[in-house]
Amino acid sequence: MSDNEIIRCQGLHFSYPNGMEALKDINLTITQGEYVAFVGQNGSGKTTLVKHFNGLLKPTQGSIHVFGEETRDKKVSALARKVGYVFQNPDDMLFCSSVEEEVAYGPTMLGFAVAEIKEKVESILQELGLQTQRETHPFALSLGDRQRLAVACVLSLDPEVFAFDEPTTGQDYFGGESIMEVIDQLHAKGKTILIITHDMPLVAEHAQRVVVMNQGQIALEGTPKEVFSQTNYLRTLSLRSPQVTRWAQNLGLEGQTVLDIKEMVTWLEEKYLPAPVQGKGGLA
Amino acid sequence: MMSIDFASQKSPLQQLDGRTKLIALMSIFVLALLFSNPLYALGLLVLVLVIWWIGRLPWKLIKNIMQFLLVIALIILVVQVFFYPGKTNLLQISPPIKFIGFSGYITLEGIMFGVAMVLRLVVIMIVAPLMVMTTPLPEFMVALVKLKVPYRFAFIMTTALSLLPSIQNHAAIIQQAQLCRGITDFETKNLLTKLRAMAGLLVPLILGTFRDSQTLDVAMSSRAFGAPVKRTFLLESHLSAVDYIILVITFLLLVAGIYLRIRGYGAL
Repeated sequence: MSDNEIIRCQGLHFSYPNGMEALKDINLTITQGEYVAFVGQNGSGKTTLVKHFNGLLKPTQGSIHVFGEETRDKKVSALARKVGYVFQNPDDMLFCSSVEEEVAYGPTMLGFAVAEIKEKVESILQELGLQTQRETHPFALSLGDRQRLAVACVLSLDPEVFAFDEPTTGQDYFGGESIMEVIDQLHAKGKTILIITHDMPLVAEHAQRVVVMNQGQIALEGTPKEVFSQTNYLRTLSLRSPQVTRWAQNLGLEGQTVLDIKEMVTWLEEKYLPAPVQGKGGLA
Repeated sequence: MMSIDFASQKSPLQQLDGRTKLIALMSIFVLALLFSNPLYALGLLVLVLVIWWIGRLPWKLIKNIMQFLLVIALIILVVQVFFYPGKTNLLQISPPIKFIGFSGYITLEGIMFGVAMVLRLVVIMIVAPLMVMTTPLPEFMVALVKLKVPYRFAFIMTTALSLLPSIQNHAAIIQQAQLCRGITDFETKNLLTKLRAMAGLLVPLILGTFRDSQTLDVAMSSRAFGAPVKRTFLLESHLSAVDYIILVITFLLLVAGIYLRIRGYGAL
């Protein structure tokens, strides 16, 4: 095992009690500080796989090691300190009567000192912009704020790895952006980020590595550029590359995959503008 | 625990009309409550097990129900054995304790009544899946309505039954979400701590269910629920010859049971 390898699945299979085989022979390694997106159509096994990383599910065959330890005999609450999991629906995670109490709950369960908890809660509320709502009942918050609160609850356990299940689903544009900002900040601090999503532009913009799941198997894996270059194959998996990527491909941009508008503009400028005129902007 | 859901296994019970099954179910309830003699209760249990066998329901479910009932059954048995005012003293275990009305003796009648109570409970518990697992919910609804149960009430009953699996699912997700927040209490063997953790589960579950029910309310209203006309049922239920035969047998059993009880049989 290499020094910074934190999650390793070997020949991982998982079947639900009703016999449905949800994961087949998964071999995957995740290293410290990575930003990995898990994509795939509904029912492809993304969530099932990620739920193995903190022991919520245990493999029926094969093994999974998290920080060098097999999860099989580990309790979820123990693994929660290493791998945090933010559920798709924040309402499933919240049950206290104020924002402050909610953030403090995990650390109190783990027996942290009072002073330490207060300090932690304060800094987390500041960080996520929830400090003015500390007395509010969680269910009185907007969806965006509840989502941030759910992140805060996991953040209070200070895990090394954060898994997010569709963090932007159901959010308006700015709500989604603001949650992605929080996630990017965590990544900038050296945390490992795992994100389950259907939002391809989000993957192109934020992730460093993409794992494409199909029928319980890893169908494709690589950097966003490598994965999105295979538009035709992705289509057979009911996935679509970002629109700007497909646009560039349709224009016949070979050999290089465009992931965002900025890259597209640069390419168009290079291809169609003879030479940048001094003092004038390009197409942007 | 195995969920009590519609069983896919084909069985003669599925062919019966919902009304027949509902009336038979109610009759078995009445018969179970009628007799306090363990022999009669045992007879009823055998009858229910035979129906279970005909219905081809999984035996494992009976095992699960028994496990679930074990503690309650033991408590009932012990309480009856100690406190039933019997005549035939078998064993003195303490001097009389007047203020709780205990004679100090374990009596034959106490044991028999305790056993009868337990058998009664078992019959009532295992007879319900016979109806629920062999009758699709729409048929159940039609049966209730044809038996003149008000439509709204029938709807509430069947909706509650149909929502059970989804509530069960939601509870499992909430439990996972809370485990992820470092809550250890679900994983302890201490029953009291576990119960406390379950209480924490109820807040999001009940709020979520309320929210869902509000959505359901809007969804139903927007699809003309409660329109002031007599609704149509796509399912027509007809009583077949077999239904009539079973209804007659049920009726005879019920009358015989009541007659026996009035004549003083089946009691202690």
